[in-house]
Amino acid sequence: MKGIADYIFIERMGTGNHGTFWLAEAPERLAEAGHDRLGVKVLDHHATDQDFRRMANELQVYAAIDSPFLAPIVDAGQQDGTLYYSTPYYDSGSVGAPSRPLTLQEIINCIADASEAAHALHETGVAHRDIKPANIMVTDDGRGRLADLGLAQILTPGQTVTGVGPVGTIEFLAPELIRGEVAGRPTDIWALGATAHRALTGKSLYRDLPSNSLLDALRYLLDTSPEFHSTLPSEVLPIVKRCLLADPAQRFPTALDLATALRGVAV
Amino acid sequence: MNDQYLLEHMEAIPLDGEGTVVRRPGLVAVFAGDPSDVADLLTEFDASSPKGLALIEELRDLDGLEVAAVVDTPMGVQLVLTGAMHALIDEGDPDDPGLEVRTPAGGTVTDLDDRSASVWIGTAGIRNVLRHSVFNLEAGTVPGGGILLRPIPSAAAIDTPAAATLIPPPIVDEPAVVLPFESIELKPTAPPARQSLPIVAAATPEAIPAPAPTEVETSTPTPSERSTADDQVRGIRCSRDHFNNPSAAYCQVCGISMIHLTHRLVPGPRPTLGFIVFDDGATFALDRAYRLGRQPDPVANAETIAIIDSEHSLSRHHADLSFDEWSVVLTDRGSTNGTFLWDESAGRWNRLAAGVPTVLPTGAHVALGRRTFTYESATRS
Repeated sequence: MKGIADYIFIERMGTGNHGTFWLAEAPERLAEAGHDRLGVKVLDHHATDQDFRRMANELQVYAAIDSPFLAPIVDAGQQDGTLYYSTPYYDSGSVGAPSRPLTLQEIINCIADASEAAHALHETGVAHRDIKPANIMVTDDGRGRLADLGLAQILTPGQTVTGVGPVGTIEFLAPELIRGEVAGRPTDIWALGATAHRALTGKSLYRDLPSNSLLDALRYLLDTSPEFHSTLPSEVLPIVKRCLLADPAQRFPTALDLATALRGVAV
Repeated sequence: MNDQYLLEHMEAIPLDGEGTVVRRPGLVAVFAGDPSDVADLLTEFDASSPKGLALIEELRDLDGLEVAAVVDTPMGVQLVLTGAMHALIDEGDPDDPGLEVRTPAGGTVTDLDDRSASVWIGTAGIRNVLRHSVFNLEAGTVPGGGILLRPIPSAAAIDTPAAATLIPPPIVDEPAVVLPFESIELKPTAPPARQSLPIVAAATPEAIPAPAPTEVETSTPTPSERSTADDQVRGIRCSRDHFNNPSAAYCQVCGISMIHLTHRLVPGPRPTLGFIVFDDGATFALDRAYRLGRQPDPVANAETIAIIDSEHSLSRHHADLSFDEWSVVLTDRGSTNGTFLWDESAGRWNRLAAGVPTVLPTGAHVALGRRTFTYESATRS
């Protein structure tokens, strides 16, 4: 792929659950606003007009949310049934793949920022649905920006897991989502807790997660409680534990409560 | 070499096992682990350029990476194996068990020049095809331990030997023509009026909040809240007031035992009855009814799932998934190629009669044309 719409791709930055992320030169029509390089997400899903309207609605809501910790969406559209949207490009990468080493304190700060951003989404009636280390971008001064609103559920209602990508990313999926509950505050709070555990320890919450079959992995997830790795800083352990309680009602009531708890941690 | 192996005329069937299977134009590969280390190599791969050969060299040189790949190059189609990967080239002769290729240290490269051959690549035991799956991976990445490559029958039949050419025409850089596109203006205006998401209250066993029938519902109900008379079932409530199947021993929401509860049946909205997983890993929650097919028309009381079907084995509206009390029910809609349920004891697929609802047991394997899915009830036991 060389580009989409009036974007020219510079390099591919990664592949997510439902699309590919590119670094691109910003089109001239966006240069006025001071953009030169942007990240462009191109969705795999072949879109109908109805899909495009659904995405447009969701992105309009997202664009109107005023939170300093949300990665803004600069532009969105469709070309020949392919949906795309663009966001600022972050030199420091994401919490999942930083371009420089992050300190434990920086990781905690980034996740606290992302939690606050998630809270702003929730207050506007939107669940993010795809929070994971790769979706928390890092600014040059080590702060977090929540990016990449999960659109799969909007484009394909009822779908909980898309068929693409390694099975490993399902640890960020709250078990009740697999059972078919609606995404909401508790499922995003689970994902934030799982993200903190993964980013701070580099380890999976499920030691023996079957990797050869998605069905076996989903069954395993439903029958197994997460295990916390010993390298998780003790100050963070009770916070992460509370995010990952099986009963959604026992987790932090709001992502802002989680952010407040994380901001009180110094490691 | 006028009978060259044409990757684009092959179907690629992922096989069970640990690892990741990747298909891109001109490339099919199996990795023992996560291929993210070589993701850039794969993306930049271009079968029409000398890069195809460069990719082979790079794959052979990467320490610790176990890969089996079949790659189109300008020099012909080549098979690359590193680590403990195996390949088996089967030319379809019943008296010839086929040529098994193993990997010496440093990897191996073999030319493939018989386009009628089936080629199996992957980790040990690769001949064991996933019994229930005949899913042809057209492009993308799925979990799997191997791939079976074999000619697509129709494509082989219409192929004329004289026209067979492996190398695609060179790509000419076209002048930059921008296809028409639509762009949404995203401006931080006043947010459209929407309700915030509900806060899930921490209910303790001592203080169970009464169900709130007095709550005023102003927003549009979310799909799982869509409730019609059809969605009402009779069930029991656990000591924390979660609604359950009368036959459940444990609460499906909080896991508390219900063995010693008095079983008083009360009406309530039907909870989600598990999920289905397709052979390509797409997973759907059974919180609503579904209409399945190649291109099912929208319908009011069910969501549609358009199933990718490169071989046209599915009918437009192939089958329906719906509910009967606490059961998931599958009904064939008079499809041309049929809807099948796997019978484990008899070891065969049974075709469902059109229009007759069939209750799916948990773990049921279902085939729609050449695509398959598995139903999982996700109950605690």
